[in-house]
Amino acid sequence: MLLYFIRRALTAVPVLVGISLAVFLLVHLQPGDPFVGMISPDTTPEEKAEMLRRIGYLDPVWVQYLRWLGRAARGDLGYSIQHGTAVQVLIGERLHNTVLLAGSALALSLAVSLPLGLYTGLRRTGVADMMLSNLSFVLVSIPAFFLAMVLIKLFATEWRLLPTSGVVTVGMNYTGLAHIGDVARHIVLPASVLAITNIAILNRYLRSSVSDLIDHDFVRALFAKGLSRRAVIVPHLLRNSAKPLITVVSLEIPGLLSAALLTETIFNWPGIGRLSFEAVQGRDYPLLMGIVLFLAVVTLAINLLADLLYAVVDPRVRLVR
Amino acid sequence: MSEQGQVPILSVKNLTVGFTTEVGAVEAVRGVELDLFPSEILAVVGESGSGKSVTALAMLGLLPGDAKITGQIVFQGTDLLRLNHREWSALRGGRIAMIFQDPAAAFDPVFSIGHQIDEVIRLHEPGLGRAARRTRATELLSQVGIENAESRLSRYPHELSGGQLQRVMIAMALAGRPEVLIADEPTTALDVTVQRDILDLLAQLNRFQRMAVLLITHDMGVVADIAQRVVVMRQGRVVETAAVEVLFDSPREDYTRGLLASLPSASPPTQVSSPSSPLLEVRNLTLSYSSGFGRSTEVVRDISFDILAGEFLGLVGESGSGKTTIGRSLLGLIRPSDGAIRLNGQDLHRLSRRDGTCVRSRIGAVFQSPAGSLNPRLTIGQSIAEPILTHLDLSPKRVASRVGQLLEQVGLPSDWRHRVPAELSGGQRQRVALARALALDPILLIADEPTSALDLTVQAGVLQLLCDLQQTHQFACLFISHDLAVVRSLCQRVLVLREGEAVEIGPVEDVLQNPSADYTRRLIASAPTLDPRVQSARRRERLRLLGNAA
Repeated sequence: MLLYFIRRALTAVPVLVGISLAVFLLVHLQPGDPFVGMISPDTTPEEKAEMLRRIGYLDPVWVQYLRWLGRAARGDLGYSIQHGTAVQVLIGERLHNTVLLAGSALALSLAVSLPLGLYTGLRRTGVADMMLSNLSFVLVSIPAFFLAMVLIKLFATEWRLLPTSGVVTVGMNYTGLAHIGDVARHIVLPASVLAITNIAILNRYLRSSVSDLIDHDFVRALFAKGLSRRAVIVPHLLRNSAKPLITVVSLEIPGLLSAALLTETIFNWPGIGRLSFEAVQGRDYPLLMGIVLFLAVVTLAINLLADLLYAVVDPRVRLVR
Repeated sequence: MSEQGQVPILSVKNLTVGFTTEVGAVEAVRGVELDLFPSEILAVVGESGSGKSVTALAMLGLLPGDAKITGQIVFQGTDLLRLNHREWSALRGGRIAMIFQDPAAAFDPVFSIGHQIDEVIRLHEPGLGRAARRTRATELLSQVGIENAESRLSRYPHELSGGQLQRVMIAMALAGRPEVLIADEPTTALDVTVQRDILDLLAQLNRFQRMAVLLITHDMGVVADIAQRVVVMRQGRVVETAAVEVLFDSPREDYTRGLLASLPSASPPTQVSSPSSPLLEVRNLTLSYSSGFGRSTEVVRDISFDILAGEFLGLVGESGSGKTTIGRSLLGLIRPSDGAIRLNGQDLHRLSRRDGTCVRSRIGAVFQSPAGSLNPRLTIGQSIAEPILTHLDLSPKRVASRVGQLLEQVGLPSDWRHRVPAELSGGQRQRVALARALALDPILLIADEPTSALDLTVQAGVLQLLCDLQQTHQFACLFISHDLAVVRSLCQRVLVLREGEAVEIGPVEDVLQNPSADYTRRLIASAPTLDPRVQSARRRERLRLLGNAA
């Protein structure tokens, strides 16, 4: 088990190096230099070259790469050009907002799609199943930004039930429970937009894995033991369909983080997504590289976690070399 | 044992089960009547589709919701068909327990066997504490002959062999202290030696725990082995009910006689005159599978044998003995790690790619599962034409006539070429597979358990066909099987394989009459004979020996 995990962890290392190289080169290949738009137009080319030399910009590419990688490994992602703050500090400031949003969206989508997927998987031929399947197909097909605008129009503009932007109501300075309630009101719309597409996807996966399982011999054997429907469904069907579910969820989380770029921008939610949007607009290369590298690490970590969870839910995985 | 005057513990009265299918309503079971008396073993026999499993599932209320069930299933005075969900739950696994055909598929793969036994104990004896349940589970495992029972509780299904799993399945069934055990083909997926152990166990439980057993099987050998009475089913109806000796001595119905007669007979096959050099030479063959990181597992070690032109060589052994692997290496699907395979003097694995293809085209193959070895999207005509199109340059018209010819040779109408495998029965599909194997007029046929997936009567037909085709085509055959009776009726010589090593090789009659190796003796003794009296004498003797040993 430990060996299995160590092997998985080691395979992540070359992937990480590859990603860092790709990120570095992509940014490096951009036309212009980091000082474009940053220094006064009066600077002479000689002075500029001297400045570039001093920050190491004229060193060979691989030296620059190793220097950047070495710093990144120590948690130093450089300084943001726009904000003049360390990149890791910027990410740290915004991270909890994104985690809050993506986490609520994930929790919401699991809370809805688990029972829904079980229900539709067990009643494959029912009318309800057909309607839910079609509905989820429709939901998958709607672009998130459009859905966001429809929801804003209905819930915020027309019915005035929910706020449209930000994390808290500006100028109210709520504390304690009132603060939590305020944040909760703000999170409903963006989290729902993120969750709805997710619900549809998770539901389809769970439905198909449950409806495959129900035909297995062992399910009939479980009923033959005298187990009630609930005693068969909750531990046995759920744990057996957990593996595909873990796969989808672990693929969805990076998706949630990148979808946050759109959603956070629309809802003016101060998270990593909006930070990266700002970084792109302002040609803030250090910040952009830091965010991309950070997201890559998160994605790898989640995959590693998924591998670990496979082994937890399915003993057969532990044998695989 | 006839139970005159005894009250049946379970009786099925005029049971009819219908399903709605795409082609309309189908009645799988029609007016079935049967009685199970306390502490007897009643066998329900019949071919696939005879409705025996449906009857058994109805007794536990496990039929799908769309099944239309009429009649009565009376268990100790209660009509089971009137029970509600809660009452069914209390009955299932408690008073009536069931074990299934494929033990590997009947366990939830992601829970330990201890957990799965515990579920039953918890359900049917809610008063027991955690430690007491664990003790009980350990006892149950020891009772069914699992060694180191306590430590096995934490094992998962994939860590146990098929035979061990079937024992655990029986332990799980015993956990609710049932009065009736329904065993649905409990040994079909197991080797003969393992089958014998499981049947021993069932017989003991029946005798010492006085548990009634309803045994569903298509294997008359198993029936002769442990049943006391037999119900014969055909096309959803009961055609004959009799005590086991009566049934085997003087079957009343033609159908029953057919079932008994279709067991491969032990008539010695004709000897082939041995030509100067063998057709196939296998020398010091060692085969191994890579298990990753440069390591490999040897599955077959240092095997040598010959096959003469026109000869049938039987290859027997338990599962995992390497039979199929040898067959695959002859087909060029696995490279030997050592040794040589020569067909007509040419080493199969030392040829250039083109020569190799040419030589291999002279080797035909038939596999165990006809459903799995025919492409479901191709018509059977296309499947048969495939090797011809690959190897020969014939006009479409010639190909079509060759396909028609082949179909007729295997006893199928030539205009069936447009059908797809799904429209054919198992036996018919295996005939198509044979036609395809013969398409290039092979000199050697590799037949890997070609009849194991078939019912007895169908099996007899396919084996007869194989003999007839051999007469006309004069091919040699490596016949891989775990069924000694089949090998005996078909092959001239037999090679016995155990854990990848040759145990003995020789003429079939010599090996089966006077086996020189203990292993062969065990294999022969495990295969049930068709005589209930011989069988029960054997069992008594074995149990006596076991009792003395203990």
